[in-house]
Amino acid sequence: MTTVSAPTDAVPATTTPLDTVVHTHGEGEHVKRTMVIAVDHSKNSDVAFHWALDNFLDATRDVAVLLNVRSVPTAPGLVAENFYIDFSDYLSRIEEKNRAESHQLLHYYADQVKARGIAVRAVAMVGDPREAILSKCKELHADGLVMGCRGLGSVRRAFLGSVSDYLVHHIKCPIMIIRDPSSEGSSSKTAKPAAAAQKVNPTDPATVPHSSLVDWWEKHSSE
Amino acid sequence: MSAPPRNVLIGIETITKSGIQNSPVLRWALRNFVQRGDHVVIVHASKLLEGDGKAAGYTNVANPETLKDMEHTVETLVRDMAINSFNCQDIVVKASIIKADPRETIAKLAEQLQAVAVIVGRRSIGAMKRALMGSVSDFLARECNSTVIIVKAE
Repeated sequence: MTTVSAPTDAVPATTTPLDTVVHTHGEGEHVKRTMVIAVDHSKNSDVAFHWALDNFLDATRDVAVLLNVRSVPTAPGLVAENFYIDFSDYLSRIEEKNRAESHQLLHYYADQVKARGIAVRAVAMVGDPREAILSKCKELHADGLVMGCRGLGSVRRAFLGSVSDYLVHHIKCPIMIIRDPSSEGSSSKTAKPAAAAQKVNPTDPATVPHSSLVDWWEKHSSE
Repeated sequence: MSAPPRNVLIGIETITKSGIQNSPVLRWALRNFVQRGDHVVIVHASKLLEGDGKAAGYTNVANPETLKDMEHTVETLVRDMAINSFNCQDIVVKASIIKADPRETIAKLAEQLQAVAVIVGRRSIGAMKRALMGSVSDFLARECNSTVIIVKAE
């Protein structure tokens, strides 16, 4: 993964995965601490962001690096024996949409940080969130990482894996896990991750979920 | 500012004088997190208090008065650290030394205090030992309902 370090507000016209610096503002000589804040569309991440903004970030010495890691869209190529569907068109369209949403989210959060007079840099990444966040923190010599947590119960956590767990184990800098106290149920084994399912979409209050494969196929087979 | 004071819960591993003064958790917290007017609660919870008690100069640790003295010592130490080395003003320091399992103690205390954050260190024991013994920071990162900050020893 290469890093495009030229700060630009325009969305670059490319579909290959790059670390894109989406927004940067106000990094001067006063910066002594680099705080990385991992954000995504979940409500937990929103809670974590606001906690950091209200309780921790300091305009006189911090730069907040907002990080959004989106996953690579996948689809099966070989559907059945001898039957191969070429999904590259669909995939690149999904990736475009994901990238636009990612950049939009980063701008949304970056504006809030800017409004407090704190230096901010927003980076969009593609890939596995665990490794991406870890490598970015190492690269930036981060002085701290802020993230939310899905509040998975122990069984779910063992199967799904937890980004925050992985990072707590592997990261070298101080890490802050912020929980959403209102969504914490004590019997987390039965509680669904309802908080994680609520999405924060900056412009569209009725969030449109990504089309499932069946929907896409039906939609395009009727054309 | 009329905002209520924030309760910051800090878990420390040792209560010896040099241990506290060199504690990476405490130093990080005082340098980076603690603000004016905070209530800083230092917790040392350990199932075996005897060892630490000897180092602090007391032989009988079960005595609650002795515990109170040790707590006062810690409080003074931390207060001095905060004012002299880290320039924290107007903070209230309270120390609690408890003979119990650190994980549940800190988690429960965080809930009682409605702490704005729980700051603990991370011992550099290997992955194998951590899997067997369990780790306070791991437990808190999973189970604690408030914000957990894990500071690694450099």
